[in-house]
Amino acid sequence: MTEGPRARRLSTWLALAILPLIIYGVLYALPIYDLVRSSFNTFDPLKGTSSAFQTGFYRDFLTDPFYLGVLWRTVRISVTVTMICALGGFPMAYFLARSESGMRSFLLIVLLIPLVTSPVVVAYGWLVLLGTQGIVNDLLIAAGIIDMPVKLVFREFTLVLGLVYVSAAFMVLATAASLKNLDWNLVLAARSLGATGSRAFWLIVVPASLPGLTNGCLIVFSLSMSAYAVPALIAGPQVKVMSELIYQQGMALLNWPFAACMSVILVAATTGVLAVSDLFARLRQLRVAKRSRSGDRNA
Amino acid sequence: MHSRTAESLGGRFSKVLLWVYVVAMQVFFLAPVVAITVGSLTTTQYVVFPPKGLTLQWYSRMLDRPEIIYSFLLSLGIALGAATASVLLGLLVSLAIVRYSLRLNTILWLLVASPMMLPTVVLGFGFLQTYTHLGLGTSILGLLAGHLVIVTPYAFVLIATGLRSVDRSLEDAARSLGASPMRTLGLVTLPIMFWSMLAGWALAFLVSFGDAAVSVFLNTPQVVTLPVRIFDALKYSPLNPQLTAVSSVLVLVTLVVLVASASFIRLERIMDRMR
Repeated sequence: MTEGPRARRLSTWLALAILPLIIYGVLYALPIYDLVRSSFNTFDPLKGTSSAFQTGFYRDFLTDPFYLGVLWRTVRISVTVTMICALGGFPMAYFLARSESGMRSFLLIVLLIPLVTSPVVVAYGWLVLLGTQGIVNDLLIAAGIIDMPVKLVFREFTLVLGLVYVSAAFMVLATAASLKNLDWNLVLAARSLGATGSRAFWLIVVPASLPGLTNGCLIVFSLSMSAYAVPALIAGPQVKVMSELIYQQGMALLNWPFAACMSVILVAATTGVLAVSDLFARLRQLRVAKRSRSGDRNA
Repeated sequence: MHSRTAESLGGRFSKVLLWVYVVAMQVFFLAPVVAITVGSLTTTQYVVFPPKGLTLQWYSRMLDRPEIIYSFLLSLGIALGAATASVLLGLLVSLAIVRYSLRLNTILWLLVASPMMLPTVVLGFGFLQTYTHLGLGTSILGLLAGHLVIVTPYAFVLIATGLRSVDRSLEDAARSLGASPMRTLGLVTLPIMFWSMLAGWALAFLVSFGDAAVSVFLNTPQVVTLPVRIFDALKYSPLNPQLTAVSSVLVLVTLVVLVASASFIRLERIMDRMR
């Protein structure tokens, strides 16, 4: 294409971008600005919200053991879900990357079902399966593990299971994308040079999967931190997470400033945990690089 | 490469183990969806899986509930509208970002891609606050606007990968043969990347159709989308078989869109580009 003058390029760009910019400016950027701004407002149960600039809600949240407990639970559950997805999803990603094309299409469709089905329906499905009359209890009784139906729903591990279900596929897809790029000849070469299967796996396959695995962890962690429908339906009132608190404050108690404040804290906490883990990963990389350099010198 | 699958890392035992694991994973991924759809055929007055007896009565009774039909049509309409608009927006943004290297693109990208990274509850609550001030708060228009914002990033990401994969030399050839930029776009570029627009539309449709977290804030007592109706009902009567029938209608629409779009586009292409 011919490179037009700068001004003409800018005007064509603007012609393309103006509509999205306006729509996203009004419908998205404005609400986000309002959200952050209103978290500094004051709220009175009788008089409602009034405009102000105070940090009282942040102080309330960060000094109240109940709220901090909910935040900690949300982080803890999300970390657990991320680790389960990373470990449990890895063989699936490996299989997907190595399987034949026809098989792969089928696997991909099954994998996409949890991603595209409404989380409400997914949560309902688990309620039916895990209920006291559900098939899981029946199977456990038939296997002789338990004598009587046990309460499986409304517990923390039910929530972990539900969140793993809705986000595992992201981890598998991201990891498989990395593994597909791996030149399998490297593995064959390592094997022919006498490396055992597990050695070739740890030294070649696992490092090759790391970019995708990291991406997957990032997606799964953020999704778990912010999930709403699944926790609200299968975790029960005892296992509250941040998203439910936000809904409760905003819709049941109509305390919009506090809901806005908790929204900001939730986003900040998610970003914070991801930033810290990124920092650790970088430090480790640095150490590994240093070690391999000193290894070169020794050789 | 495929014939070499046999030369994988472990021995026969670990291969059997891998297969057992893969089958278990498939069962895990299908379990809740199967429980809902098959469970809705039960003749009992409460939901049970596997079902006792087979009947379609819960589906036929659904037709006597106009509010459920209304919610279904509302969800369908909003998903169709939001998905179609999101493909148009996603195409505009992709063309601007992929074809022009301007600093301003960072702003555009941040604006359009970041909703995907924010919690839907936070978005839903933010929309409620601002749309109320804008006078959009309690109408179908507000619901549509909220859905448009949350689904466009998905359409955009897929369409941008589609556009990046178009071979520029084909466009150059069309241009050098005298086609105008618009003609080149319509006759060369768009047909080549059509799969990504279709995939983007389908994903946007499905995200909107299944959403509860944003809708729950923007619904009014009269305007209730289907997932929110199920969500609310689940809190009071989770074991009503009627509810599984409604839910499995949702599942069926999802599966039809998923399988139909998967047969049009090679799904693997999405995996290849997910880097």
